[in-house]
Formats: sequence, structure tokens, C-alpha cells
Amino acid sequence: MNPAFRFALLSASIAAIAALAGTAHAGKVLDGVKQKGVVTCGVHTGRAGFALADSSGNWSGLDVDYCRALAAAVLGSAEKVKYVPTSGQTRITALQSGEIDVLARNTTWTYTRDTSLGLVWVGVNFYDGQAFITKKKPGLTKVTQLAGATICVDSGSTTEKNLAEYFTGHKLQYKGVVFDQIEASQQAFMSGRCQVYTGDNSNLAVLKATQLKNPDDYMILPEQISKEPLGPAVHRGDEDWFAIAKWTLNAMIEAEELGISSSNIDSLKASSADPAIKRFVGTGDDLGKFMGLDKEWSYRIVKQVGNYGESFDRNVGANSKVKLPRGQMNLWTKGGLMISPPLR
Amino acid sequence: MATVQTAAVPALPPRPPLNLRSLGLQALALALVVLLGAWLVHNAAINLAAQNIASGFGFLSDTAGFAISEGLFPYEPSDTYARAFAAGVANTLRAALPAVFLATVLGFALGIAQTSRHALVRLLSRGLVDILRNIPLLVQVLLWYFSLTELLPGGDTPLQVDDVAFLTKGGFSFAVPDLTASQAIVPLVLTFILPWLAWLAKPWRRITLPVSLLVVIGVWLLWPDSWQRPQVGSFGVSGGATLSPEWLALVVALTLYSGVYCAEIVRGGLQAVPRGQWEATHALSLTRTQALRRVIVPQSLRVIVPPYTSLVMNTIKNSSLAVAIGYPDIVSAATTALNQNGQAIECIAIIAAVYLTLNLLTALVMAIVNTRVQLKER
Amino acid sequence: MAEMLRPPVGATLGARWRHTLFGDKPSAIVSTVLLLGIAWALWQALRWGVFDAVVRPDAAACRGAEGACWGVIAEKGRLVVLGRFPPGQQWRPILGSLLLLGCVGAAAHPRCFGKVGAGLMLGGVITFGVLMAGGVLGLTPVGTDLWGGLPLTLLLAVIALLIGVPLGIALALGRRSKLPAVKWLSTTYIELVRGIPLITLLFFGSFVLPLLLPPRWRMDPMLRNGICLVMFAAAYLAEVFRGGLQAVTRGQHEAAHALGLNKWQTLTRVVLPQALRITIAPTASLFIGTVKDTTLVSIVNVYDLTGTLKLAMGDSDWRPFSVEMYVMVSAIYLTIGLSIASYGRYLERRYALK
Repeated sequence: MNPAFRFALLSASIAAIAALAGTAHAGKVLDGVKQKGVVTCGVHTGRAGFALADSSGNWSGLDVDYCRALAAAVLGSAEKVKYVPTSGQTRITALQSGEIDVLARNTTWTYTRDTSLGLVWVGVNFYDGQAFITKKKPGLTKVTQLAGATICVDSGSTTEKNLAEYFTGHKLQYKGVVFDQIEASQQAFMSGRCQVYTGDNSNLAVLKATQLKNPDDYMILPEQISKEPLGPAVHRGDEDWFAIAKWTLNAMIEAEELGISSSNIDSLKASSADPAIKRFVGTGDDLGKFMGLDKEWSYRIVKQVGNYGESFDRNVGANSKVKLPRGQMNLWTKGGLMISPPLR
Repeated sequence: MATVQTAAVPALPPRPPLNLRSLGLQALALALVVLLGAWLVHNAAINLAAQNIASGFGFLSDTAGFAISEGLFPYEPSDTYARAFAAGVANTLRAALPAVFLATVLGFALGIAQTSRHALVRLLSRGLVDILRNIPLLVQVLLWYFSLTELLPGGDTPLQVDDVAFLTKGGFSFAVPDLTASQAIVPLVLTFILPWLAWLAKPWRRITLPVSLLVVIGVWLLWPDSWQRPQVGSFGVSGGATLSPEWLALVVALTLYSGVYCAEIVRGGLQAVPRGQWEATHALSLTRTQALRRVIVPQSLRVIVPPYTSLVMNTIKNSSLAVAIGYPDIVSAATTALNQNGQAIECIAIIAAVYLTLNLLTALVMAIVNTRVQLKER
Repeated sequence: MAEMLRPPVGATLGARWRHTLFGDKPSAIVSTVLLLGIAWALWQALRWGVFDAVVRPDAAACRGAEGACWGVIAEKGRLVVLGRFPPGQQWRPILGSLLLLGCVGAAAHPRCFGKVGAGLMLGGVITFGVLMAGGVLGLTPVGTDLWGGLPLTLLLAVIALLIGVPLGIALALGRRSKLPAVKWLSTTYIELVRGIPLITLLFFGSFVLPLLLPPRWRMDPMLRNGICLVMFAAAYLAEVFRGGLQAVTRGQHEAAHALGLNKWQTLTRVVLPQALRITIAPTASLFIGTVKDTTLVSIVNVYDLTGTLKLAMGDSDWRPFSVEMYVMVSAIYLTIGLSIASYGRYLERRYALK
């Protein structure tokens, strides 16, 4: 055999073997998750309050709690999660390619994203808006006063588009400096390369509370130029998995409305006569079977992770470093926007 | 009429039998590649359909929706993707070409220094070349960017020369003439005509060339009525022309990195010139400068140009590291577009096409240069 | 009148240096200026780096001091060199790197060239992979997203070259093949991959490759980047090897044919040894280039040595002292590069034609 061809064949087979190194998953996401025994969850590379790993590798945050709730509902334990950090640029392709089962990464729910990318949103777990942070200057209150400034922004996000549209719409100039990694843009802001940094309000609050050396020198402008409903997303086309993901989020909200928390759920299970609570904790009608789960799926969510209010307070609210007010993230009965369709 | 006696045409040797084995192997190789390609295309079609991603280059006429912070020509986020990509390519050239020019100058300086008689000069240039060649370009780019953005003063307290030039974290801002296109015609014409005339006057070239350059500079300084001067505003220095720290970091790092590679190429070229040429210059009592300029370097160009071609191509390709520090070149523009509309295949194909075209153009230009520096043998 | 010959230079080192540096007036001026400049630069460097430096990992003390803050290395050094590997298991990347370096060093010895060397390298890489990934022999599994730092740089470089060199030889042979189809395929591949920047290839791997694979296949990101590095290295190595193959004269092929050696034997015993000997210098330079190219994976969110450097410098307390970290990382790369260069020179001397 011609040595040249022999080598070509050898290299072709090496390439083929390498290409085959991915695991083929025929079938649905739920089957894949049960077979692997973990929920693969795409999260932020590191954002305090939403998804951050400490030095021992333990993840915590609002999005992390959602992933844990999903794992508790489907696999029985909130610890059976594999966290995949994704950047602003790789998060969409990671979900599209099936590398992750669910994307819980502060991703804004927009029309284009919901329809043209092959993804579908399961709900909103945080109502955010785009805001600006800059050094305090007397008399600086409105975004229109930022004309002419150098503004750092992350690429691959709705932030960039909103910024361009806002300033073009108001016929103002600005100098935008775009980075593909969030750390790079935040560092450029902190070093003074840009005078302004724009991002989701929660992101800026976390930045101000945890990373700036002199937080009191900075201010987040009160005006928000866009609405950014953040929520988890799954791959379009798998209706069963979509239902499980959607109702996991709804269960956490419903639990808070019903007054069920991780501390009182066991006593409620033992003593409550309310049919709604009994359905929730698994002693009433079996609701889980419609989704392919057992009847204690919602019990496990609240027992192991907590309801939405507990998760919020623990990660971004009163008991956290960030201390964001509940605001729109409060229940609809208390003036906020969080409502779940009834679990019946 | 005399008949021309043609010799008997010898019989042609019999045609060799078709080498079925080699034909078969080639067919097999081609078939494998075609099958692989078909499989990939099939998968791509399934994936794109499932994810509702459009195909084709129609998106080029859609609104881009993202800003490009600096460039050669005006660009608004409301312009099309095509214009955004054009701005990206312009930025790539805007960083790569000055780097190539400066690297060549640095390379020749260091290369000639390495053949100096003076041991210290040789040592220092050798040391510089060895150090800069072994540190990855990305680390150098990041280090320069960090130095420029962290260690330079903020926009409120710039380093300035009057109100003509400012150096801050926001970059290097300097005053530029405020000229419309029609006003700029006369100075532009003079810029090209005067040095050319000075070049033509061969016997007096040594005097006329510098004089003409001074006149051109004077024209540019005195012709404009008004200048756009940078000012310190509430958000740092604005106005005038600005060289952003991204551009500065990228160009400086590229210059140093490519410059030391060019130094190695120049050194190789100088060493390839036969020793006899040096001895002849000594016999003619030429100074070292004269020897280099008139005898050695022109002959070394023949050896320098082919590797220099690869160096230029590599510098252009290395400018793609701009994406690491936020300089908006074509890679940055195309990946932003990719994230917005999901058409990864088209956008990556555009990037590849741009660089392949630039490579081709470089090869063509350097081929012309190559023929010019060949030895004119009889 | 004929000029007097200068007296011969003295034989001692001092006399020779004095003659070289201060032989005549221009040289003397240049020497004085340069020596003063070097002395001043050395003094500033010593003052910054040694006398005024702070060694304690104390950010406040560092901010107060004028000199370098070497404490940042004590504080962040582990993160930069070992990445985000779980702290309790960090003996694994350390052991793995030492083993890998040992195997590479052993394989580099000329006596181990050939099957022994290849086996050693392969063994080193596999042991390294097993140690890092875990999951067997009682080692806890560690996902590839946690691999990082210097061990990852070494792994990527070694794999890129281990697979890239045979692939490059194959491509070079293919390009010189008499079969038009094979020649066309090899040429197209080489010119295409050499014409685009590595970063484009890495983005291709990140964004386009998932689209080209069947739905639901998941390729590990580390594998994707590894494949891109291999493809890139192979194309450049192919050109260098092609130059070497061209330099082996026709006579060698004919002599081998006359001795009755078949194509494979000619290749391995006659042609390749001569071709590789000629191309030692450019190949060493490409090896250094591949090590430097591994830094580009930090742009696609893989935390190699440069990526962990950026990660460590994200801490706003320590960010002003990044220059010291950059110096340390540059020193590491310099060491690797200079080692490979001197190894190349050693090989050149050893295999020089007498």
C-alpha cells in the first residue's frame, strides 16, 4: 500500500475516532438525565448571588437553587447537578447543542431568543432592567447626561443592543468598548478605561457590593433603560422536559404563596388539612405522574432547596451581601409580579 | 523541388497500463472525503432546521444593532451587518499595516545590530530577540493593555502637551486639521507631487527630498483654518483624533513581536551575503554604513523576501488577537454578529475568507517585490 | 606613508574585551553609553524588584510600598499555576505534570528515539489524563472544566505535537505524492489551515463544530480545542517537513530502490531520518510556537496558564500588581522556550554531518 495513502488512512481514522468521542444521546432529555444521574445545568462563570463557586467548588446562587430544585424533583436529590460555566457567547450554543439540559444563567427572555434560536423559556425568576454605574458626580441623575462617555459593555448580550438603540434613539453619542468576557469589561471599568459600565441592575449591584474597592464613590443611576425578565431556558422540541422545568419554577413560587417553606414543610405534611397543601407535599392527589415524576416531587423541591422567597433572601436579598429589595420579585399578592398558575 | 527526406518516425512506446491500484486508492480517498463532507452537511442541515436558524448570507443587509467603538469611516449601530464587517476589516488593516511597517523598521535595526562589530550591541540585541520571541504574543498584548489602562492617568488628569496632545487611559488624543474633502485637495495633491518631483531631480536628491518633506509638513500645519482639538470634558478627553489604548497595545505588542522575528530574518539574510562582498567593500574603503546601504543589504534582500512574506502574513493573522482586549476588528465584529443571529457557519466563513484574501493579496504583492530583488543574471 | 599595523591583541579575556569595547573612539563612546544605560536599568530593576519590594502577601502593605509586590505570587501563585483544580486534589496535576515532563525528557534522549520514545510519550500522556480526570483507581472524578494552569498548557502542547508530528509527516508526504487526488487534498488542507488565524480555528471548534455533529452528540470542549490545536500544528509542521523531504536527493531514493527496500522501508530508514535531521531548527521553532499557541485557548474560556492569570487578576485587591504576575508567567514561558531551543541546538550538534 502506498505509504502516503496509508498515512492518510491512519490520520482519517484518528480524526473519525476523535469525532466519535461524544456520547450519542438518542431520545429525550428526561431519559438522558435519568440515565446519567445528573442534571447538566449551564450557569454563569461566576456572578455572586446567581451562580458562584467558592474555593472548594460548591456552587450557590439564585440560578443554582433552580438547578438544584430541578434535580430534586427529577432525581430525588438536589446534589445531583453538574454545573457547566458558560460565557455570554457560549451559553446559547451550549444549550442548542445539547451539551447542557437547562440554561439557568440570567438570560433575558426576548421574542427573538424564544423563536429563532431553538430555545424556549420556562418562566421568569428575576425581573431585571438595564442600568448604568459610574463614579458619583454632582447633578448626575439621568442617563441622557452620559452623552460622550466611554461605556464598557459585554458582548453577546441584549445589553449591547439596548445601549445602541437607546443612544441612537435619543441622538446622543457615546464611545462603546466591547469585551467578550465579563471579567474583562468589569476590570476595564474598575481600572478607569471606561467611565461608565452598563449591565443588568442586579449585576451592577453585585459589582458595587462585592468588587469595587471604594463602593461609596460610585452610583448606579436610578433610571433603567430596558426591561430584562431573566429566566431559565430549555431546548425547544422536548415538551415533557419543558413541562418539568416550567413547573419546577412554578412550584417554588406557589410554595411561597401557600406559605410552605423548608422549615415548616414537615410539620405541614404531618398536620395540615388544606387540600392545596396536601397536594403540594405529596399526601393528596398525585400530580407528579402527569410529568413522569413521583408524587413527592414538589415536596422535595421545597424541603431540599426552599421556596422562592427563601432562595431570594438567601442569595440576593436581605440575608445576602447584595441586599436587593424584593420589589417586582415579590408575590403578586404583595404587589410584585411573581405568580404561578395553580397546582391542581 | 527537392523533397525533404524525413527520418522514419520511431514507433511510440506502448502506453503503460492504467495503474488501477493508484486510481482505486485515489477514488477511495476522494470518496471518504466526500462522504465525510456529506455527513457534516447533513448534520448541519438538521441542526439548523431544529434550531430555526436561517441560512445564507441574507442577514448581511439586516440592521447590525451593535456599536463599533473606533474605525476609519463612520458607522452607526443602525447600519447593516455588511457595513459592520467592512468596518471590522478596516480596523484589522488599521492595526496590522502600521505594525508591519514598524516591525520592518525595528527588524532591520535589530538585524543589522546583531552583525555589529560592537560586542555589547550584539549582545543586547540578541538578548532582546531571545526574550521577546519566547513570550507568547497574547501575554505581551495583555501586559501592554494592562499597563496602558491601569498605569496611565484617568481622563480628569491627563498627561498633556498644551492642548495639542493628551495621553490618558482613554488613549492618545491629538489635534487634527478640520478640513472638508474639498479643502483637503490642495494639501493632498502637494503631498504626493512634491516628493515625487524631488525624487526625479536625481543629482540633487539629497537636498531636495528633505526640503520637500519639510514643505509638505509645513503645508499640512499651516493650511487648515481650524483644528479639532481634544478637550477635557466631564467624561474624560474628547474631540480630536484618538488612538485608543486597545489599538496602542495591539500595535506595540505586534511591532515588538514581529520585529524580533524580522530581525532574525534580516540577520539570516545578511549572513547569506558572501564574505567576499564585505572584503571588497573594505578594499574600496567604504564606511560600514555605505557598505551596508549600497552593497550588502540589496544583496541580502533576495534571501530576506520569502520569509518576510510569511512574516507579513503572520502579523496580519496575529492581529486577530485583538478580540482578547476588545479592539473591534473583523473577528470581533463577526463573533458579535454570530451571537446575535446564530449563523455561526456563515460568520466564521466570512472571517476565514477575509484572512485568506488578505493572505493572497500579500502573496501577490510580495511576489512582485520578489522578482524585483532577484539577482539580474545574464 | 603606509599605516602602521596595530599591535596584536593581548591573549587574556580582559584584554580582548577591552579591545572590543574600547578599541577605537566611536566604539568607546557607544560602549560607555550602553554600559551606563545598562547599569542604570539594572539599578532601577534591583530597586523595584528587590530593595523596595514587599514579599508578604499583604495587599495593603503592597499598595503602600513603592517597589514590586512579590506577595501577589504567594497569594495567587497557586491559582495561576494549578488553576481551579479542587484544592484537596492538587497533588494530582503536580504529580501528573512531573511524570509527563519526565517521560518527555526521557523520550527526548536520542537513545530513546523511535518506538520506545513514542511509547513513553503516549504512556506519559495517558497517565496524566487518568490522574487529572479521575474516576478510576479511587480518584474522584474532576471535570475538564476544572483543569487549568501550567499542567493544562503542558498537556495541550504535548498532545498537539504528539499527534501533530505524524499528521504533519503524513500531510507532507501527501502533498508530495504522485497521486493527484491525494496531493490536491493535502495541499488544500495545508493552505486553508495556514491561511487563517488560530483564533478563527478555535471559534470554528466552539461555534461551528457543534452544528456539524449530529444533534445530542456532546463533544467535550477540551477535546474540541485539542483537535483545533492539532490541526493547526500539523499544517505548519507539514510545510517544514516538506522542505526537508525535498532536500533529500533523488539518488537516495534510487539507491534504496537498488538495495531492494520497499517504499515503507525507504521512508523510515533512509528518507525520513535525513529529512528530519535537516529540519531540526525550524521544527524546534515550531515546537516553541505551539507552546505559545496554547495561550489562545484562554480566549475560548479554557483556563490555561494565561487564562488563570486573567482569572487571578480579576480580584480587585490584587489587580494593580498584575505586572509581577505577568513577569512570573513570562518567566515560565521563557524557560520552556529556551529549553526547547537549547534542546534543538543540542540535537543539531549531535546530528550534524561530520
